[in-house]
Amino acid sequence: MHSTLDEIFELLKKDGIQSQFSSKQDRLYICASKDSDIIRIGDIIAKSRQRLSFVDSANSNIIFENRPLEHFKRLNRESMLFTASTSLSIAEGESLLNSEGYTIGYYFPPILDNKDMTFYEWLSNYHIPALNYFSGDLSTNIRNLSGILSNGNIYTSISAPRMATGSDINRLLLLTGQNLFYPTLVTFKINRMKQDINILSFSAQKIRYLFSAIASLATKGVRIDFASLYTREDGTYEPVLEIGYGVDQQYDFKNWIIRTVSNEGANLINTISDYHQIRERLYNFVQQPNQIELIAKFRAIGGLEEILKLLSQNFKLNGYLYRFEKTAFSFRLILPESAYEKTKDTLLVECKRYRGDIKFIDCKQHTRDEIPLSIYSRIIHSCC
Amino acid sequence: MDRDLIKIKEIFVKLLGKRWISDNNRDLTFYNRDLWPREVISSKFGVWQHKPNLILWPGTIDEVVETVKIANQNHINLIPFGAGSGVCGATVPSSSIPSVIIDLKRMNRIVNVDYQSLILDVESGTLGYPLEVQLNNKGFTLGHFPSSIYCSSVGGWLAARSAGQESSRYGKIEDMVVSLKVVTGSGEVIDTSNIISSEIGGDLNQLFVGSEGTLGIICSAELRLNYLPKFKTYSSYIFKRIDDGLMAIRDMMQEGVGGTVIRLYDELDTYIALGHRKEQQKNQGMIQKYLSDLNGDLSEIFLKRVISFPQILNTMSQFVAQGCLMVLIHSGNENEYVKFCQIKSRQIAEKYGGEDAGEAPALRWEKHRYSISYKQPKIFYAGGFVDTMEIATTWDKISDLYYEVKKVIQDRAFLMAHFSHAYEDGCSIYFTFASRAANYNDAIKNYDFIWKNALDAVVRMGATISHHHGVGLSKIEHLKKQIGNNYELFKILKRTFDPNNIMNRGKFSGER
Repeated sequence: MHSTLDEIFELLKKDGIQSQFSSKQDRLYICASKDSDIIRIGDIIAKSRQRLSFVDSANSNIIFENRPLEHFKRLNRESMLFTASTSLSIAEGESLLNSEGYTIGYYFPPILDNKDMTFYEWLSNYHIPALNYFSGDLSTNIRNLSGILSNGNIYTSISAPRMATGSDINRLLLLTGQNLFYPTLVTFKINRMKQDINILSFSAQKIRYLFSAIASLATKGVRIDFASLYTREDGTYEPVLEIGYGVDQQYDFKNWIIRTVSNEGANLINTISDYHQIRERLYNFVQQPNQIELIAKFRAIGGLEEILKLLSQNFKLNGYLYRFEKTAFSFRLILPESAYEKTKDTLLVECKRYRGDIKFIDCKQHTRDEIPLSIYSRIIHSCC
Repeated sequence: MDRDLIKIKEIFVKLLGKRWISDNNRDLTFYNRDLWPREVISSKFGVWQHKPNLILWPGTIDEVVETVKIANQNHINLIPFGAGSGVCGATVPSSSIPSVIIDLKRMNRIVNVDYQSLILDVESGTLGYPLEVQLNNKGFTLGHFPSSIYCSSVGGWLAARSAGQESSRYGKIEDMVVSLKVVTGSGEVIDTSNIISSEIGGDLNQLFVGSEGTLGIICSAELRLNYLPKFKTYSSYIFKRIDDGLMAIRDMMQEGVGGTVIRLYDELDTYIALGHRKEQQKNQGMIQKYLSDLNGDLSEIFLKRVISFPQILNTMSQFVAQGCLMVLIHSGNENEYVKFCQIKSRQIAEKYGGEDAGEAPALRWEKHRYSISYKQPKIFYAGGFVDTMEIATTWDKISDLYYEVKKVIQDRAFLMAHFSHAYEDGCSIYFTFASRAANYNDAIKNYDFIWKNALDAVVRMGATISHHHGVGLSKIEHLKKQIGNNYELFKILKRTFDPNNIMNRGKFSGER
């Protein structure tokens, strides 16, 4: 039999765990102030046969609130792993790692510059950073998750470099976000800090050459740390590609990078960029309001160029490389307010021509893709 | 065959044609198991527990969809089957309702190769070796080289989260997946190719990879390709202690110079691996001769002795120990960088006391890289059994895990191990163990005892019970021990994608 909210309230109170009714007395808000509270809350919820919710929605009557928990952190130097409470801010985590000669490996400014952003937000928003080619993203770096499930069970995965024990449950929990799971502790792979970051700047007459250069670097396995590509002043001047590579061992990747990029028709230029300039520029781009993201497999580089050409004939636009991986990259367009809605329609038609090879995301809406979204809903429905 | 089954067979004949269905006893016997050694023992003693009722060979994804619909309507257990080289019993029919094997080998087409994005689109029934040869002919490689490459399929690799011998460079199969085309247990086709993995919302592929046919049937996959490396270097080193070698691998991986292949053998495995060396064969005593024979002619008399006295042989092997062999292969298309990695890794090996053993052991390993599995039947013929266990953990626990598992097995089985599949944060341990199987009951009792105690130790140490063989029937109880209450999460996935529980019942979350 399900326990009533009053019964749960009393049990929590007895254990010194803070909880509070809504003004209409139809919802109970639970707040853990230390990690050990989580286990007790889970126990009470599991026995009550009620379900916890981690977002305040109309369908839930017991809501687990996101409040600061104890800040736990542990550095496993031998295995290059970092474990942190999700309430810890990313900036604090990164600073601690830096003092030990390690880094999360993210170069994307908003994550590190926003002092309030916590690992919880990092996980629940499934943050995929730009400028992170070498270090990978969230999904490839997480090794262990602990937290509370909506049925009150405490979830702890084991930490192993790779496993063959069924579907990736960590991935499931991250996919379903705040609906199924509240992460309290996360372990992720870290990177050694580079002694320095060298940056090479290239330009080309056509943006296609620079896209091809990125594809070539990725598929040929050249070890770079990040790439930053942007159109200059509304595409009227030559676009620029900047490649950052770490200096941490005797091998210098410079010649390999120059050869690979030059083979695609780009030229090394004398523009002096440093890492802070790149971060600053990218940060300014990210802050622009109207953005659409075009994601293209490398085979669709020609199509991407055509779309950009078509759009620049009709609208004033600017753009920058957002991120890239081994087979695809994404390019963000910054649009004036007036062109925003109209451009989406044009893009929809254009991208359809390239089937699954080019697609776009409306960054304003920031919605998840249609297919996974319907699957997430079904998973969540299955668990309730 | 009862009436219901006759009716079901007729429905499938209509769908696939008579040629692509079998209820022939010989076929049913063949498909009653994979290469799970426990089932091999059973077969050897004539115990056939799990014969399926029908075998189907669909040729297209549409036929797979229709097959799943029929299975839902008639309450049939469907078991996807690749090439049958799994070693955990994942394709063993173990359900309380009629079981139908759906063998995907007819679906073996290369749909497309995108040479610009380096993406291969391939059907899941494609066998590993011919696929790799075709890619090599065009100057590419998938980079996936399991020792079962001659007798395993793309679908099987994906279903079990397989790893190849070059995983340190190319990753495991789950790292290569760009997209999947899956027919779920409800007959729905999910094509993840429209979702580029870097997109917001993450990667659905990782829910289906490793699900061992319990959520649906993987019909095709887009996998990442690589340029075939032009340059290769071979090195090997001998370390005095296994722990020295482990620290060297860790540093190599964390410095980014670990190589394409990096393997470290424990003392016994080293002795066998180096058994060919002429200087070693001189003046060898009885034990040495026995051990070096393991690498060469496995005579029945010799094998009988080995498996009859495992604990004695495990103890005696310490006296012939000559260190631990590390084999290293670096490869790539930038000769200068390949050489740099080789030099850097040599410096690391020397730092931990590694003595240069030249190119020969690495070259020899490469030449015989797929042959070891084919020596196993001889042990079964000689009245014993042999099995392998692949577990993994982080670097800080790897050495303790090795000694702990060794401790709980060594009284019952002749035991050796190597460390491969290394990463920045940890490594896998691959144990090979052999023991006696005088009669069916004793053999099964001994076999189950070894596995139970070993996996209990693995769970106790917080390591994973499987790095790349999967779970199947063999590890399901320990998976439950390892994840406790969280086993419910597998059930959530099962309810989502296979609401009537028709896909490979009895594995992971499904009831039998």
